Amino acid sequence: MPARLRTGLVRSHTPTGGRADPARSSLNESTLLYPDLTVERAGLPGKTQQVMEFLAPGALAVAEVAAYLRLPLAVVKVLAADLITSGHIVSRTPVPAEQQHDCDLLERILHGLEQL
Amino acid sequence: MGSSSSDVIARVASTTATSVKLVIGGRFGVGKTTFIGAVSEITPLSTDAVMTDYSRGVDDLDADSVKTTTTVALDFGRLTLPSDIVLYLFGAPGQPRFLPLVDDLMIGALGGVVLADTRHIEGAFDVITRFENAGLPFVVAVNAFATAPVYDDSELRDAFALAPQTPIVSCDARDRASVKTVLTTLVRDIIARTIPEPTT
Repeated sequence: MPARLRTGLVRSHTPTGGRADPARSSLNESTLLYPDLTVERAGLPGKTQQVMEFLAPGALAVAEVAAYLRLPLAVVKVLAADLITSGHIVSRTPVPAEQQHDCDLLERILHGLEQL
Repeated sequence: MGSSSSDVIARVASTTATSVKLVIGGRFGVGKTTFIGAVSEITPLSTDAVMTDYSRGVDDLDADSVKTTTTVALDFGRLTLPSDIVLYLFGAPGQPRFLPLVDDLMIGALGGVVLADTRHIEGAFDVITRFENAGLPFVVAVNAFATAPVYDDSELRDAFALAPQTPIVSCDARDRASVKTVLTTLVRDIIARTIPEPTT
């Protein structure tokens, strides 16, 4: 086996197979990623497998996965989108400003803050 | 290496949680990460975002703009509320050249906080404009630095040229209760904006 250069760096498009845009534009930094451990994980390609194994102990947001795995946000969005498509991850998208007319949710946020 | 390192990471425990993104803006050094850290249940994390920009430098010989990418670190924290809500607080980079990234951060956000310093009023202008143009509800939180001059709210409202409905509060970014008050003010304001609208 040839010796490998271990720089710890990888060109950012490499783990995503060269695709620049996330398959799911709805993914953002605070989208929660829930692993579905009933779906077979063996055979997932490199970085996708890494994200899935990292999430296996429990859910985290896109930005947390990026921070802990030291991957750029854009890369994690692409990898997460793939895992959503393959059924390995179920995502819960944050509540955007457009849905702020949901008074029940706003009251829940307010009461939650007040209970802290 | 291996999975042992991930065992200490605090996971989002609830399988039914709703996440909410808030953007904390303000000039470089105004205390955004301190503000986030005051309420975050995790030590604030940092992640890399890539900003694409078109430089228009005077040294462009061929007059074509040159596309450049810059990696910008985003600090953020997390706060789980007892009502099955997980708040994510993102610090928007304060340097003017990183302002395009603020636009990206606002996507999907519920609201914003502009952290301000009365010694550098103008340092808050850019992000206020950004939030206003995007229609993002926000509050201005004046970080009470010991050496900063104190003004009354109407003076500050004039100085920031704030819309009448935009709340302005004083805070101590190091103090959990104070930061909580800022967030409560923001959510109350969003509710107040929502109620007068006719619902279906």
